[in-house]
Amino acid sequence: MTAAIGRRQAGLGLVVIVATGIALVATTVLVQAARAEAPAGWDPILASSPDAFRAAPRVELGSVEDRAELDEVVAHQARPPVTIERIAYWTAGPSPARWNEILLATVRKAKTNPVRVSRALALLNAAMYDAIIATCDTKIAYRRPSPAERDARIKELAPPDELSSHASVDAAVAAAAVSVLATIYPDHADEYARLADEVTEVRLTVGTHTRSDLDAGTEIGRQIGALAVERAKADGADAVWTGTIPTGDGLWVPAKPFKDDQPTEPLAGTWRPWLMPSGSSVRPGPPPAYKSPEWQAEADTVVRVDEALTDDQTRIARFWADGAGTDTPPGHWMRIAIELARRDHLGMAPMARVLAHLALAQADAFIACWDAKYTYWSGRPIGLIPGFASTIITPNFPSYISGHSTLSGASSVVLAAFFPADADSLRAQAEEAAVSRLYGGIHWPSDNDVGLRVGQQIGVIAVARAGHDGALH
Amino acid sequence: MPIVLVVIAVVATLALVAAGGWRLTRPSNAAAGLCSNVAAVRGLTFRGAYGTTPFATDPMSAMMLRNMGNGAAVADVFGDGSLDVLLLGQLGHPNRLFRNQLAATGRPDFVDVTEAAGLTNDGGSRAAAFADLDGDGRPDLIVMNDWDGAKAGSPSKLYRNLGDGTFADVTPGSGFAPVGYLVGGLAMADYNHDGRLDIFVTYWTMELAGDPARDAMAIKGRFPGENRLYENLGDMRFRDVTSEAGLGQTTADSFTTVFADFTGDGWPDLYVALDHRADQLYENHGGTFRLASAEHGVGHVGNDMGLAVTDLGGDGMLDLYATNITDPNHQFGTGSGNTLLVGRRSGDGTVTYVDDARAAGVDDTGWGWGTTFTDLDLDGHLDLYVVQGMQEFIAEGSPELHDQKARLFLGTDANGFAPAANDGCDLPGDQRTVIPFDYDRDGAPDLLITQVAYSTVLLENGSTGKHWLTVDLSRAGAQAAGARVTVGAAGSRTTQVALYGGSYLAGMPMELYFGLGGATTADELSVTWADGTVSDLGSMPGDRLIHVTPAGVR
Repeated sequence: MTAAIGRRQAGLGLVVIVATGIALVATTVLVQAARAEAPAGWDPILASSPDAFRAAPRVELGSVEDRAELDEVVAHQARPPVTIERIAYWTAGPSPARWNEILLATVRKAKTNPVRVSRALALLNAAMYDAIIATCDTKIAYRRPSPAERDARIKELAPPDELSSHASVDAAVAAAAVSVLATIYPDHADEYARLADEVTEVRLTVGTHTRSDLDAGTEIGRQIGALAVERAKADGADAVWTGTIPTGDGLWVPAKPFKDDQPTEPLAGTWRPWLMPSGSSVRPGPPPAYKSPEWQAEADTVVRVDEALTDDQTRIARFWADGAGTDTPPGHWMRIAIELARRDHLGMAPMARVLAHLALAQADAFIACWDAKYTYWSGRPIGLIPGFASTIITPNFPSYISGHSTLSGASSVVLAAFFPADADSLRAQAEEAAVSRLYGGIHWPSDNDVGLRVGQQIGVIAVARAGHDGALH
Repeated sequence: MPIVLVVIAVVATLALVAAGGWRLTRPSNAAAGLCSNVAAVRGLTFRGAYGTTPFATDPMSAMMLRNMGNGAAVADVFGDGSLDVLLLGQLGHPNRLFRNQLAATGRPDFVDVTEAAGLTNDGGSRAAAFADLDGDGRPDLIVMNDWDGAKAGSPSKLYRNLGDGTFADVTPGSGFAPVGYLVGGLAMADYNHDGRLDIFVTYWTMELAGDPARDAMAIKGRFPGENRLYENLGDMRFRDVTSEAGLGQTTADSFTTVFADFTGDGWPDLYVALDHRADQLYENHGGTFRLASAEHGVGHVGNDMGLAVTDLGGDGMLDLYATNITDPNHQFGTGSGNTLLVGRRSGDGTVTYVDDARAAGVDDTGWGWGTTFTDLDLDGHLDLYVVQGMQEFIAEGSPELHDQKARLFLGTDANGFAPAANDGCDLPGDQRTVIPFDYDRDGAPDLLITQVAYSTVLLENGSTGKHWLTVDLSRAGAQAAGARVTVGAAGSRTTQVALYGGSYLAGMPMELYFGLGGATTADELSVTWADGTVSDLGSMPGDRLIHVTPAGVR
């Protein structure tokens, strides 16, 4: 490792230590906030304020229309238009987890690249988080008992919303989610719309809302979804790369089987970040110079590890590979987050808060990582070590810094703040994800070490946002 | 549905899901500790690592080249009575020949003798087999490599066994020059009854692996490769007779292939397992083949990969097992299941096959590859073993399929099978080839298993207290290819078939392992040779290895 890198890493290390301290102090309150159900006055991500989309009830209680709506609920309960399995699917836990799973199912099918996945997850979870906050504002402004409380014919088959049945938080989440998902994957728009309709039918069947409660939620969700779509159109992700791949000693060269393809997302480092000022805000110094003693030592490590690779190390390399057709690394960490949230029985708002802050950190981690990749254009082991073959497929983009490591560093710091009892395990998982890239023969040790630290830095920024997002009032 | 019922059902559903309900368990007659992996202890250290993929044109083709696996071959290479192992590596990972030290030291440890034997090879090998191709009584070697015919990879090889522990590359000028990748299978038999072993090679050409218009990972081309039949002219010279022998029709996406006399006329017929389309059975009419799948009830459409052949029940009719993909989540494969084609002869002599896999309970082995009928527990009933995997390709597409294990089905008294469990044979991993061979000469067949990315496995068979008889046909030349051996003991009768081919990418040792159960003597031993002649060898004391040729027992 060069002295310059040593200094840089020392600097990064200090930042991480200080910021981790801040994060740990914030941890207690984050957890306390996570237990609060109602997100009253929380700071939205996309909307200008929590009350920007307050929606008055359209139907007056006790009116003819209201009675007709209650009759509709009774009819749904007598002849459910949805199956038991689908009712269980949508009522067994907070719906934001489901919409993440739905997105990841599409990701696997479409074989979306991990950078685009992190963008999609950030847009989705920011929109759902805002929809929950906005719905809470409306609920506080317009308190309404649930249909079951107002009509003895109606049985409540699932827990009702907190505070008020107007407006439905699940409908708002669904509408916000569908706006985002249908924009990113227009070919699947019908499938998403059908799922949102299913949420409405399920809520009518379980007796927690009338149709106007659901319509009001849908309207809130749509407006917030429109904000997310507007952001997506202006975040730079549509820009087309017209550059050329630089050539020179030690630089990245496209390797088969991707020889004829463009490198993956050369412009992602210029995309609009969520938490940082820009993709270059946390740019690390350069990697070891090609053929320098430091570089040679890293090359020797790569070869030595590959030659002595154990079955356990192979298993680790494969476990974290998360290549095309999988959930990809951001999806992998999102599943870890959902699992922890479900284990701790987090409610709707606290779960959405965890997932949103994780997703924002992930998106920024990739933006920062891709900024470094296409600033330095550093070569991969397969391109620079003659005759070397990687155990897992070498991805089609430059080496420094490791995307897995950056993403995992950020994800582990965010989740450790929300789940402090799991901090050690989360850090160990991030470190395993990072070293898995060495085992796989696709990264140099410094790619992983620096990537982890850059990611941790971004994780701390996300934790800081959560520390003053209004959830602590 | 009345609302009360809805409530009850929802509650019940959630309760069952929470409790992990709806899991059915199957009865098992597992033999505890039957298998244990001793590869590292015995020095058989080899990792089937991925290599470079110079042929790949896109991510999907790279995925296939990395994951179709590499085989192995087993034989008594040095004539010392113990079985040696050749393991094949992908490009960048050379093949290794491991010599069994049993004869030299009394311990069945393996020592790498690749360089000394002159078998250095730059890898990219898929399949290999030892066989006496020049009639001098020593096992020569065929190594099938992925090769584009020009620069990428290296040509397939013929090596002559010089008898002094070394091999000589006799490929140039031999006429044996198959071109293509991915090698899907390798089989040998004397198809034209001239007394010499001929060679048939197959290729999986990726023809139907995806639609480029709909799938970004789909192929953007087709792998080269045509299945080829090479007639052995003697003295390690060969001639491509594919078209004139009537085998020009088998091309795309071929996997394992076997020569065996399915029709019972004394001529080796040819079966080809095909991916994506119907399997093919070719009748051999005096050295000319004719596609006759339909009239024999053959034509399973699936992802057929590995093959095993035997004569279940000893009725004189060959039976054939083919592995497939069975995904509980229906994300991979055709879902048409493994097949167990049981042969029957009608009154007019017609042979037809009926799939009995489901009834026998052997239709689901995950993403199955290599397979073998062998008597692991030496009870006189043939067992069925199947290895599985395709983990990098499956990834998260079907977690349950990804995490499956190799399966052992133990033969029952009624010629059926019962799943075994918790016996150490239910191996997790990413396996491809399985070869039964008795590496420690205790009479119980052990299992050599190759893997993709993970270490090669040697499952030592822990059967004890049973008697056995090992019949070695490797010195019988071409007459051994397809020979059927029947052994009777203590009222039980088993027939096994010796094949150069089968399993998946496997070079078989041409030894058959018979369990005698509690009997110390086999009261019946007969061999029906490849040309239909029969050697009736009467009774034979057990617990020994015998070498059998048409001339008798040694």
